[in-house]
Amino acid sequence: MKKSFLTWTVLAACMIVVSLAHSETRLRMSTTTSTEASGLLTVLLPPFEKANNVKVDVISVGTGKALKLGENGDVDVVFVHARPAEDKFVADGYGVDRRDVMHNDFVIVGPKSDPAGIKGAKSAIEAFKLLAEGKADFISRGDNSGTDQLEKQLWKMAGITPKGKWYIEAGQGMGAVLQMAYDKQAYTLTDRGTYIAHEGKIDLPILLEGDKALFNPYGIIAVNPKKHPKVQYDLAKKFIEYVTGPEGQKIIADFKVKGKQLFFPDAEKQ
Amino acid sequence: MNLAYEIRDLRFSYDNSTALFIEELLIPSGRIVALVGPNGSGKTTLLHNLAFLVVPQTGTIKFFGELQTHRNLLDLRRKVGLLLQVPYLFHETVLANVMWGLRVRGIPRNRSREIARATLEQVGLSGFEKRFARSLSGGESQRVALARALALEPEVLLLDEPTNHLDKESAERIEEIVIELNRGYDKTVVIATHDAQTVQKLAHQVINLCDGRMVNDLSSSSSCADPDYNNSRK
Amino acid sequence: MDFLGKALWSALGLIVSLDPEVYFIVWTSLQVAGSATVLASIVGVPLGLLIALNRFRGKSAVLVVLNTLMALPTVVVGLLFYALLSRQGPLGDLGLLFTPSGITLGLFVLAVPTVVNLSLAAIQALDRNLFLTCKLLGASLSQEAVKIVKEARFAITAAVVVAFGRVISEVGIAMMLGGNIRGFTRTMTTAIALETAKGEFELGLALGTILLSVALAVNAFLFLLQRSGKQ
Repeated sequence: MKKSFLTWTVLAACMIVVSLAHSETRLRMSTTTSTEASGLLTVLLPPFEKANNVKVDVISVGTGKALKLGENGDVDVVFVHARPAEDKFVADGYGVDRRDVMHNDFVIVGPKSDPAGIKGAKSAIEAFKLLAEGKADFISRGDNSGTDQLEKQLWKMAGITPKGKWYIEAGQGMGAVLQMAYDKQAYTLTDRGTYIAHEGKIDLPILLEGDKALFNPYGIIAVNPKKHPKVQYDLAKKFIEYVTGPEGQKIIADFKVKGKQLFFPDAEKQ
Repeated sequence: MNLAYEIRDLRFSYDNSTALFIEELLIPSGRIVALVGPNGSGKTTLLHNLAFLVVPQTGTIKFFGELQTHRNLLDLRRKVGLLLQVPYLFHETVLANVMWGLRVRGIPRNRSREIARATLEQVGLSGFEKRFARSLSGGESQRVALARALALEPEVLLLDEPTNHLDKESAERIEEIVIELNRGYDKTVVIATHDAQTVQKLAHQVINLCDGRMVNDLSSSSSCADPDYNNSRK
Repeated sequence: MDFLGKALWSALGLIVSLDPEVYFIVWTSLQVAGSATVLASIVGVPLGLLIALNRFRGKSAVLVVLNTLMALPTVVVGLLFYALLSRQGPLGDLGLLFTPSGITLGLFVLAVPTVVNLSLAAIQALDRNLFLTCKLLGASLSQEAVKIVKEARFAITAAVVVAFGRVISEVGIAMMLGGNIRGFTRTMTTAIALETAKGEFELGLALGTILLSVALAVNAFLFLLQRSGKQ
């Protein structure tokens, strides 16, 4: 009886000790779920981690939360794709050193039968007008993510406030929303990366693409050390330079999903 | 003569109602004293006071000349053994049960084991060491409880209606052990009982309790008549 | 049904392939849930003992509160502790946010009411004569306390097992306080949440199967331990 008690205490102590020990330098980055899901980070981060002997902790959440974490100083760097929100973030003094990194694009997918007839539309805005007129089932992210913000912007530019049974706000990630659109044979706006990743399982053709309005630019911002002195500003800056520098940009350009390039490097030379 | 207990002006109550009021009680050492009275007369309460499990609100108890205070409660407790009506045995082996009181007093494991074995033999339970204590019969359980108390070599042994739930044979065995303890080892014994035959057989002295007080004669008032007294054994 | 079958098969595949990422996720789950449960037991069982054995003013209020806390919504705990552990929160300097220790802390808070409440019940269910017997055998308060816990050991172990079940299947706190960081704070539950959000239902279900198996294994182990204790 005494012996087993001893083993238990030792085991318990081990668990507690191990869970408390984590002393490596870690750079914390918040980004969006779609960015992590694309798989880009698994190739983009390791060279930086090795060269600088750090670990990059990636916290992937919705765009809104990613920026909020930056506001609170819980992360060191923010990597999202929602230009207006990013600009506000910097203007409010929460972020510094914002740089363009890359862009991917969005596409509008929907049922093969295309009941709303958007296939021939000349622009995304026109397509959205057609969707609202036809009251075709449309699944929205509804979670204030980058995708969601773009979608809302398009409605705004089309002069429409989407309302009604046909407009379904899912409040979920892109993968789940695509699945839902497939199940319901509805339309939705999706980033190309997630679409490609699900190509085998979700049989919803791309009905509109290529419109500049559907471009999805990514920005990287360091959290302002003046607001949160404890953030690792120097390390964040190093990371930003890496990502926007020749090595990072090349990795981004070379990254392919199912043989197709997803992201297009955008960083200007500084 | 030595006094095991000298009690004066003892008043004990649970939550407001006085359960016990004893002006004077002297229990000589080396004697067997029977405590008699109907249910609710305060026998158990008195025994618990004698075992120093509770502290009376007023009054004094002297144990072999030592006055009970709040500070020496644990020490005095360790000098008295008490057997409950229905013994509580731990969920362990018989041996472990008997050993626990010794271990609690810091006696090393091996020595405890020896003493426990010897005491079990004393109560006629040799060979029961590895048995699971809770699986024993009523009589066997009571004997384990007795062994558990005796192993600690108490100066006084208190028994609360120990043979109440037992069959004839087990009851007699317990009584034999008590007699042996008193005659052979000079142990002071206080035994609460309903059984007239037990009183006859064992007691040097009888204390009658009625409504928490000592009386000379139980038959004098109807409220103190013990309906269970004189019950012949099953 | 084919869907479920595929998931079970993938689960097996994941385990057999010795995918290090999967094993690390399982280990992280066990670590945070295990530590939280152990700590909650160290704090909770004595607390349950104290409350069970003492009379004090406001005891009934305490019991009602404890019962309520057992049904604490995990997101509430997550939110509360996020606010506390955030860099601009009062405990921000501890640097616990987005670390396994942060998750452990949140899970600990979740587990304690369960352990206290069930230990309390276990002790209140004991025969009163136990307490009397300990006293009359001359035990001090601490010796009596240890004995009481020993006598109630089966019910108390059950309490610990319930608490463990609650924390290992918990997702809100792990997500909020851990951040689901790959290779660091990703637990089985947050991984499942992630895969499901990505639409990878099969992988999610596969991980879920592993989670259930792990919970089953832990319970079986504790059960066998109890049984050997009985003999």
